[in-house]
Amino acid sequence: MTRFSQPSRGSRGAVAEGRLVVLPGGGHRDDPVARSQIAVGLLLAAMTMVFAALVSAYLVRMDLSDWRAAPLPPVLWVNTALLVAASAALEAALRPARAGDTRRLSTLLWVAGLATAAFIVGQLAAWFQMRAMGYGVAATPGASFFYLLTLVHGVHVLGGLVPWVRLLARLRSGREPEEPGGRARARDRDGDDGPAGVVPALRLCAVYWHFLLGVWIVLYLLMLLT
Amino acid sequence: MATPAAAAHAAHEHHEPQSFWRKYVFSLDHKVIGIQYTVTALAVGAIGLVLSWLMRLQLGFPGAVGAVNPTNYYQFMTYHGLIMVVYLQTAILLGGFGNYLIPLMIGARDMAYPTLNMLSYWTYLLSVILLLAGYFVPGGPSGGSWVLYPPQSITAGTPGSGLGITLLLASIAVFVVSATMGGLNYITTVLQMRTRGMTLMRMPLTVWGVFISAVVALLSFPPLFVAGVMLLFDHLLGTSFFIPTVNVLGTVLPHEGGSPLLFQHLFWFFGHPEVYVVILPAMGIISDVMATHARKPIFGYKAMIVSMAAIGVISFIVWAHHMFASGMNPFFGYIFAATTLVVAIPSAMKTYNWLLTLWKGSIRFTTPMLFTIGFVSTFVIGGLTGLFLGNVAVDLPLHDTYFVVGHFHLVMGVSAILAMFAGIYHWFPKVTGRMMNETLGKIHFFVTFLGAYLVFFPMFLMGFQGIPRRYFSFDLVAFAPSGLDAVNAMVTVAALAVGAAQLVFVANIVWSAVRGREADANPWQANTLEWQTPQIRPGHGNWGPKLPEVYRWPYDYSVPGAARDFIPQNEPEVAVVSPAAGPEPEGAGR
Amino acid sequence: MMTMTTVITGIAFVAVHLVLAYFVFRYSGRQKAEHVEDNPRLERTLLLITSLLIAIMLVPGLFAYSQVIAKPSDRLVVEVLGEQWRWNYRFPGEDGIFGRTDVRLITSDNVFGIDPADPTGADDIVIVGGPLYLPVNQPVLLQFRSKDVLHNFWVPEFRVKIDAVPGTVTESWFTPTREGTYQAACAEYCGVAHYVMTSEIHVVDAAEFEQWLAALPTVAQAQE
Repeated sequence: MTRFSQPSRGSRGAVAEGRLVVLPGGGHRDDPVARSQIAVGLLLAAMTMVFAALVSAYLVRMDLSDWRAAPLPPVLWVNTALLVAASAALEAALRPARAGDTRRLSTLLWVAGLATAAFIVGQLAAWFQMRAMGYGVAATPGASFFYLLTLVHGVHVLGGLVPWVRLLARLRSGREPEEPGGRARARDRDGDDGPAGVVPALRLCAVYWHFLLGVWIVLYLLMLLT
Repeated sequence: MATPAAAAHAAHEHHEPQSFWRKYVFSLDHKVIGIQYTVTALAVGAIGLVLSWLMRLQLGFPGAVGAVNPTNYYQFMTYHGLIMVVYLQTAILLGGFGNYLIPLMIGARDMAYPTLNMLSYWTYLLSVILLLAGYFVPGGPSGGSWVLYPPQSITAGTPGSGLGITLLLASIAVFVVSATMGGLNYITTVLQMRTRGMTLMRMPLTVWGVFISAVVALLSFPPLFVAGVMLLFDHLLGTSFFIPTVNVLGTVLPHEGGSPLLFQHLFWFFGHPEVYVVILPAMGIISDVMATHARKPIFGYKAMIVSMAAIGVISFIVWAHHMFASGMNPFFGYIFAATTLVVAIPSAMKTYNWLLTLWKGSIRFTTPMLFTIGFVSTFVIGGLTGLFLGNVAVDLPLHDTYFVVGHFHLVMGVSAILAMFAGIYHWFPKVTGRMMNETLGKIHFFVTFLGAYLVFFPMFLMGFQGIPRRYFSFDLVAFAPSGLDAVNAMVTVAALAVGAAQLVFVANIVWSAVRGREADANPWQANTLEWQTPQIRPGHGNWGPKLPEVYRWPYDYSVPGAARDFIPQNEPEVAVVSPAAGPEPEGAGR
Repeated sequence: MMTMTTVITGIAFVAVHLVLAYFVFRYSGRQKAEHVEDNPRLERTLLLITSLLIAIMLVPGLFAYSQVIAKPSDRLVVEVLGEQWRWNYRFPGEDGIFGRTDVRLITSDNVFGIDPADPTGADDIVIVGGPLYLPVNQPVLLQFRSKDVLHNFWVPEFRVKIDAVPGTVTESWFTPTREGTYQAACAEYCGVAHYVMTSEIHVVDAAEFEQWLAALPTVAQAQE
């Protein structure tokens, strides 16, 4: 009945023999790149739940008797193109970043940022166009969802500008903005500054943009096709 | 490698921020943030407790407290529920215990993202302020009940359906943002910051509980956020997501065609996992406290982790058991009854494992251990009564009666609170360097535990009689049995006694923090890393120059042949008798 | 169902507490603890027993549920309208058809919002606030509507419960088997006067029921 810690029981160590066992890969990974990847992955998972909830609410609401879709303002096509451009510019920026071409890198970063800002302005314009067409927020269920979906999506796009600004700042000063208390990060970065040093952060930034672009396309198609 | 920038960083490390504000208020230290969370949550919880007294006084002695009327009764009810579930339990178990314990238990210097961690706390505080602000606006706070079902929550028949509900929804949305920042941090920290040798399968169950709970929270809170934003749209902008054409108190509202059930689905998709968000860290805390104070490994460590993970996964597919009487498609009743009863299996396994941990142990009846044993009892009765409510045919007569009130209070109210107390008594010496007073602790435990039974057990009987919940008064309820008033009075007296016991707890905390007996580095002789810090009260960075290394799982208690009955996780070599050559196992413990 | 669940959970509750009390008493720190990590066989056995007990409760529960949601064929249909904070009832009258309604048409004289343009509504019989009479041993199908917020029509003796949801019609049914006076209360929080939303229900023999119903004015009569 009574069982003892056996050496064969893997993680529980070899207590019975007084042997020191530290399993390979046990803890202490503390790699800032992997850490950010996990954090961004988790963030995207939570955001997926936000948009999944919105889309399922849309689908449920759509099935109810009084559903009336709203016409979509044409400027959305332009906005979509702007978001695609922003996403593409961030992706394209990876190459000069690796090559150490700071000038090209920062140009592409600015292109991405400005395209994103233009997207936000465009979405605001779309709201005004909707209103001008006679579709206020409470006009039809479809119109309500248009405002709701663009608002929630737009806020997330705006949130993306925070890491974008940090990237720019880091590129300008040649190192990551100081984070008090983030000792491990400072230690592990090993002076890998300059354009190549921003590659991991840039990649995550690009992933975030691609994600929001994907979400936008899903939302747009949803509204367009129903 | 050492560029000037890196050198600047290295220099920076030796100059920790020392100003009062940096150290205690806008601190980045996970321990300070954990304490901030705990103190804030306990303070809000005290408000929730007082609100429950006011409600109980009205129910036990109708009219005795003239100040309680239906309007503020329902406001108390709403705030009591939300405060206890969200702003106390979720905040203290994840934000308080999670923050304080994760880095210490896994041997990290701090959380993965200290700034985000601080932001998470301040965002939480903002959500609390928004919540309490409801009491200071015209129309008062919302009385929409904690589930906030539309159309009721945003229409004129409910107290606080103007600015009150707006603030409440804003507060909930802000809380979700805070919990998301926290959850990201806890998960990333557990995955990335474990010290050398701390494999996942060597983590204490407290860390496992918080970890799984954070994952569940991260995925289940977004639908609440969405539901809250959509309800705000309906409320402020006149959209019709949830509101059909209605005539409220003689006025036809501008809404049309919305679906009240849609809100309920979104709400319970959050609401049910939320129960497990609260109970999973509680289960973890109970497991660690129990193993330490019974001087025995937790029974079935792997099974404990597997069952917690199973509970976490199943929690996402049971939500509609809250809606058996909602008018949804009755076919869903079959599915959700089945999934709900399945969740009882991992929960039962955990209970068996706790019992078997006590089996052949050497139980030390310290205050934390008493709370732990109490938890097993209340969790069992809460869980068993859940089998009534999960089984759709049995649920229908009991739905929205006092049976439900008794059930969820015992299983996620009392149980999680008992675990919280077990944790506070257990880790208080770590936080303050002083022991809590045992006599006061035992008074606190016995009054709370026995009182909780006196308060909530009669509610099951009331539920069998069909007594509906959320009633300000039972005067008009013809089917209320004649003894109901007497029972209600008894319950109220017991509730007030339990409340008074919490004053003993507060007094104990304050007195012990100042005057308590000074604690050893490891007063409970525990194995987990947080007790192995170089200072009794770990300083900024936790570990001094070198991080601890881990050589074993955290439950090496009473290993036969070892010199002491515990072997800390960071102890590399211990002379023990190998089992083959050792004494006859059955005799080892006698 | 209720009895079986009570018995099984009751036994489980007592058993767990006896074991807990015994362990607490027996292993109260007088002897050294034994290093027991787990016991897969015991755990498997417990898992099996638990799953079995759960199945014993679940499977008959689902069968019972299928009976609960099976509509009776020979039924008396009554419409129940919840409003803040009273219950109103409507019988379809001679033609057996409820007149069309619209929430926008609701007034204090027309609590159901019956459309006057619909001829089938003229012979409907409306009872504001109750009481409601029902014939004994006659299956009753209740159709619930709400004009404002969620309500729930709850008569403990009838053991059925379903929300009245604005915007849709929900249904429940039962057969009253004992004559007497009962009470419906609201079991879904519906605002500040939730606790006063009760209504009297009389279960009487068929003759008395017919007499009661015949004495009530139809919508057309009430308007004159």
